[in-house]
Amino acid sequence: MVHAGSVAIDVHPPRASARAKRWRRHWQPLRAWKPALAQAAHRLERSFLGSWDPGDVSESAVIQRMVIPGWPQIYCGRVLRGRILLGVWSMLLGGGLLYAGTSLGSLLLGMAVSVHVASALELALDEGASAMERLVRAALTLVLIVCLVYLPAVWLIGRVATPRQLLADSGPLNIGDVVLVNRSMYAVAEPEIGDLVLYEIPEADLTGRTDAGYNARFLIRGPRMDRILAQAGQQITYDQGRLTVNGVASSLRPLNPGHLPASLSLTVPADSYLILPSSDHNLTEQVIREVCIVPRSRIEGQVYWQTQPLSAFGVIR
Amino acid sequence: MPRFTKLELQTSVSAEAASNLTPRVETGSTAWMQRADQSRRSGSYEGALQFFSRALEDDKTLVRAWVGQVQMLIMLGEHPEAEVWSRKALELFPAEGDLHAARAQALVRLQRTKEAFASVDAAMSQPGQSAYRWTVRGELLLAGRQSTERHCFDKALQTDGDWLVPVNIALIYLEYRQPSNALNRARTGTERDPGAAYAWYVQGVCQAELGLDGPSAKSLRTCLELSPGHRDAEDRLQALRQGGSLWKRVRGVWSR
Repeated sequence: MVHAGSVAIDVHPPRASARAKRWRRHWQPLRAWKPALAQAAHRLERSFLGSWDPGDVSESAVIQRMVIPGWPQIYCGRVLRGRILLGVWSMLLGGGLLYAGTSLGSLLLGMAVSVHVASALELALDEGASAMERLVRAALTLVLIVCLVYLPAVWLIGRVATPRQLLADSGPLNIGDVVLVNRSMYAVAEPEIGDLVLYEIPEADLTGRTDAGYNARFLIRGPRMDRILAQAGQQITYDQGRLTVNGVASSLRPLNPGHLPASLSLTVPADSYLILPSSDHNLTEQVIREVCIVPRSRIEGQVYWQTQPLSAFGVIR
Repeated sequence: MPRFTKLELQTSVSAEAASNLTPRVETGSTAWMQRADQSRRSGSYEGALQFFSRALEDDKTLVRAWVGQVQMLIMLGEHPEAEVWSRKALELFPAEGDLHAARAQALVRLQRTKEAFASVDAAMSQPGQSAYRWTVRGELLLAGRQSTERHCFDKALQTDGDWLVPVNIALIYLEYRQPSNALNRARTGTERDPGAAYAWYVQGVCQAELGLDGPSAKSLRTCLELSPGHRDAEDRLQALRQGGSLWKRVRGVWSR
């Protein structure tokens, strides 16, 4: 240490510890291969995708085209690369939408987002940038694409087609099946008799007995899916599986008629609908009477399409 | 001198005392610098680093010693430390082109290419020229896989006729696994000064990397003739006698 004036200037440089040197020696071969790998990737790219001259392109035009993966590449003259990106993204997105609501669907949609981000990053990243700068740019690009493209898309699509996976058997629908729910349907129209709907069952905490005669406490809550059988003001009678509305026989049935009590008779109050919770097993007549009248506000949307399994793909009737 | 404006020297020292002090300091630091240069030219970077530090203990205004320290740290593979040290030296001598170049070299070895280019640009914008600046510029281009690196290296050779310049370029090529280019530069070094043992050593290393065991042994023997105690050359020669490194021998067995 040397003192110059009032300031001490250390003239001995910092040294790497033996451990640091060992660590660097281990990583040195990997670092040495990095340029060779980059060169090989560059050659591969040139041989498969050809050389690229972006020419005179407008930055704003490129940014606008980042909404769809591959489009900016096509615009910049990297047509083959753009088509590959667009094709892969389309397949992943299509598969993800087809399997929406399942784990596979989530995986495919995630990969589609990754391809989209990769497409944007190819043009957003500067080769000369440091690792940290690249990381930050990549994170920002991901956030921007998710916020500007996917979140609005999910919100919009979710208004008319929210995938819901069934957690219990409901007549023709089984556990694991996926259906689409139109949540905006009843914002513009009233629910109709016969509609299959997703609704929040009226909460009930009841004591009673099971069919086998045991004491039981029934705590009922949460979303359910079933058919609207009658609307406000109508008098219904359900007897031995036959439904009569205002004395007239109705062909409508709940999703799972086998799980309902033998008889039921009531009048639907104002601003409510009759929906028998047929997917709940072992509900007594007393319990069903408590929860089958569903206020309008508890109906969330119309269930109209089944996507899984693929063998049952189509309109639910 | 503007380059020393950041140093806080004692202002209370009289002019006479300062004039008496200056020659004594220069004498000591000059001796250390000479020893550092000798060590460096023999490939003993650790020793050279210590001598540069001793020189700075005597005279901390020796920019060449600061640059030498950073260069030795880079040669010893201590790139993060070299970058830190170059930054510190630049706080003292912000207008020194060679210090900017040294920092650029440390940065490019750390793969911080963008900052390295900024540093080398700063180095080139400083007044004067040096072979080292052109050498570092060439290394940056080499790291960026640009073929124009050769022009920078040629410019470095034109700027300075010292045999150490082509040898340093050869070492850079070796760092980037281009032994063929390295050998060409090492040959220039031995041609410039056939009495430079270290140049022969580097040439031997390049030849060994290319699998030219015979010529490599010959170069290393020449190095040992010129510098009988050259430890690295002895080790290399011994390895060649045993059929190369362990990995090379394994590959030899595999290819039989």
